[in-house]
Amino acid sequence: MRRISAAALLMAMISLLTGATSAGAQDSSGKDEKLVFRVGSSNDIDGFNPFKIVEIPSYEVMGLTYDYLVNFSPKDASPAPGLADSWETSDDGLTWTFHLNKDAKWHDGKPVTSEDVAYTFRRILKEKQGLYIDYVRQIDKIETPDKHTVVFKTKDPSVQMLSMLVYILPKHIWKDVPAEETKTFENEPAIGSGPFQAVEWKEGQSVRLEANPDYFRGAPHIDEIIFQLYDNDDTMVQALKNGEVDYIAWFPINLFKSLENQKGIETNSAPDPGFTELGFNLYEPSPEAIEEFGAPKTSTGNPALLDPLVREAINWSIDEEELTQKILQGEGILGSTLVPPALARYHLKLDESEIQGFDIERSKELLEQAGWRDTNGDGTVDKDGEELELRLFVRSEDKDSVTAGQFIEDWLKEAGIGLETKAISDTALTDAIYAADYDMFIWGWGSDPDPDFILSVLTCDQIMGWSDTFWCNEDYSRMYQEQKEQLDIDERAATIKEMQRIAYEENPYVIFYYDNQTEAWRTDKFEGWTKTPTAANPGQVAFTVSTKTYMNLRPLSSSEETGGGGGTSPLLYVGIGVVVITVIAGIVFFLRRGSAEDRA
Amino acid sequence: MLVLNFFLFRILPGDPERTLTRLQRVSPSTIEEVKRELGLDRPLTVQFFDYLGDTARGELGISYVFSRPVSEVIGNALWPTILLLGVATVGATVIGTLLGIWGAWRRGSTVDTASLGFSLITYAMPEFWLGMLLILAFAVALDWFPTSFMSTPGLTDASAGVMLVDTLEHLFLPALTLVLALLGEFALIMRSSVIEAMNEDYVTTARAKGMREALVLRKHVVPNALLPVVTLAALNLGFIVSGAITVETVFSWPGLGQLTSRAINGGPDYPLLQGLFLLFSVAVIFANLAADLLLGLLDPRIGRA
Repeated sequence: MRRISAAALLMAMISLLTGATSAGAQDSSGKDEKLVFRVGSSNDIDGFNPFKIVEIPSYEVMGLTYDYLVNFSPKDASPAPGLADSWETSDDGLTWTFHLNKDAKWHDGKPVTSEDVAYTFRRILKEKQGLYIDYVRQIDKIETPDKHTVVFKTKDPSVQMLSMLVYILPKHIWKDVPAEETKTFENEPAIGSGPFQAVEWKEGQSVRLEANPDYFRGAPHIDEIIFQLYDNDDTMVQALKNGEVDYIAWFPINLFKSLENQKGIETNSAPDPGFTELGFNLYEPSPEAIEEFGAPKTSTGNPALLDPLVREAINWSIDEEELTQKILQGEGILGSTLVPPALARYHLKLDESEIQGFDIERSKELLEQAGWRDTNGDGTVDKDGEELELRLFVRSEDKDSVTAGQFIEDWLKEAGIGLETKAISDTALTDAIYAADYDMFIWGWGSDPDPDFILSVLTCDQIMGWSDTFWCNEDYSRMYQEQKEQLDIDERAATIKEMQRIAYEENPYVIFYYDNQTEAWRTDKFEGWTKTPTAANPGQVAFTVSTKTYMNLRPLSSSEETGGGGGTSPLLYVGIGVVVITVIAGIVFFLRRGSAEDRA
Repeated sequence: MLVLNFFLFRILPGDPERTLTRLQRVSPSTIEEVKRELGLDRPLTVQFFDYLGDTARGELGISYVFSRPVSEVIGNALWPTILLLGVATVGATVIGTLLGIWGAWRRGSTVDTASLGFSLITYAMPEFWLGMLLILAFAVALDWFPTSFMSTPGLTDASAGVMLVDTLEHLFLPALTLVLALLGEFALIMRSSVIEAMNEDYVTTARAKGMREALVLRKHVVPNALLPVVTLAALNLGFIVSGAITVETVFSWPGLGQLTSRAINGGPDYPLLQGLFLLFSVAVIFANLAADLLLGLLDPRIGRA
């Protein structure tokens, strides 16, 4: 009885498989009718709700789905028409008038009006939405004289009005979302006004975007974009090699090197506006900080670090050149000041004489000036009977920071500073920082196209916010407020450069390098890859402030249809066949033996 | 078990309310508000009794990371894991057992040495490395199978047949990796178990009766030698639900292993972790029970005792 049912099951399985196989054969021919651009990413998105996104690919998906009021030019990241075709400022710089494009439509066909724009900004201001509030804080009043005109009045003149990275949302969708659901609203499919529409998210697997054929600046030439979310960088690179994915970004340098000079694959490494730094715990508990910011009551940071001379000594004992060469294998720029060179207009380029380079002797001198010398001959400097022993936290989630920690341990030891390095998770490190329970750490920052954000990180107001050093310099913080109101770019740049000089001399951070972003793509399927340059470099093709590549991509004009690998592999059927035959043979064998014996 | 599940994860580093506000420029009052929403502002003991009550009512709470009910999040990841680990365990058990029998039967032969060596090597190999090797061979060099995921991303409006074939293609490499990784254990245990059984008196008796060697093996040796393998297979099935974290990562398989690592990194997501580990413990307990019952069925000596 048992055997009969097993055999029946087997027969059922075989018929199912053959049925499926023939169905598969039929359909595989019509499979390629849609023109799909596949992007590989090693991070998942956070969803389609623009109020809760943090992962890099989320910004790419949202940037394709929504429009800004003012875009960044793909030529040099200067202001370019977005939803607004043009704009003007009043003479006092307090009134900004934006004229919207009259053809702009939401993905559901409704027209984009000034009401939508006003609604979006008012909602952010009213709910103080953390991701966007700093872009819009200066806005005092919003008026909509007609359907296609928005007028903003600001409290003070503000440079930020043309670099507000705020996605304009449709009022008719969001007005039904209550304030307490702003961050939990799923927004799938997302209704925006952009060239593509995010329609489907399979968590941990993929994100699908469909082209918007009615886009007011012209329809894209591809039908779909699919972001494929790989858990493993090595696998992602292999997937590029065999054509499962057309473009990948944000993968480690060693894999980048392995893709260089491969046929059919183009690699590009371009300076990304960000850096990797060593940060110090400079917290001195004070009643105001505890009261005003909810800062911790105590700090376990080594008080020696509060002396700028000690921090400068540490900077002199770190070889940024070596770190750039060994860790980034040259795919990056030597670190120095706070605003990355990618933001060329605002980056402070130091003179040779100002650079705190690599010189262990200099480092020892500085320590001696600060009163630290090795009196007991144990190799570690001391002062008032205290040895200089520091703790360094590196990120277990980032191999590069672990490697950097090993280098630094050796260098500091040479300079006479004892160092204990510990790798911890990002969440644990975040906790340690907010509890002021650390001496030093290695982490990084990414910058907006405008330097405002990266400058804000070191201001006093950001303690218990974005600040991870507790550094509080009053001149620096005052100048930060000043630059916000300087409408003249040259004046603003001068202030920003001065701020960077203060930060460089005081060393709340030792910036190792400005990391390059890695990307690679296949050359056998699409053409129209467009780099979005910044003032300083030729730029990347995707994950930039513009969506140029996605708009320009079109299939290779040559009719050569390589496709390949699209259909079902013949081996699968061979494999299934072999398994089925083996199982049948086995069962027949045992059945025969069994019955033979039963008869005996 | 519930107690352990609750307190174990509170020890993990990280504040969910911090991670949830994503390090945004938030005031302490916002953080307090988020804490209140999550119920994290109340004393731990109150939280604990709430948790016991909710669990008793079958409510696992809302995942912090996904903002959806834990049961739904886990439900979505359960089937991919059961499919992958189920196929792999069955494959590994059958092939491993057959290899073991064959090896023991032809003990000392080239076949035995080869299968023993093979079992030991695949058993000792790290799964993620084996997975990478298979990707290099079958996905890149030969281009026969896809590298990642459970289905081709974007394949939505296809017929059921196409979907099935597509899933099978995606299943092949991760399942093969796990079969290779698991079968060594089965082969080794089956081999030694068969060798042991072959020295038993009843086998000698059977041979003395003049039974053919193949029949002795099938009727007397294998049924007795199979008992430890049954236990092993049942226990393995219990661990199935916890997924194969490394293999799921290499192949981006959307199962419970992947979910567990996201729950730890994103928060920690207490309700989701509690839900996952509750499921894991229940599965292991049931698998033990199943193993006991099955043994009783197969081995009359246990069943009657």
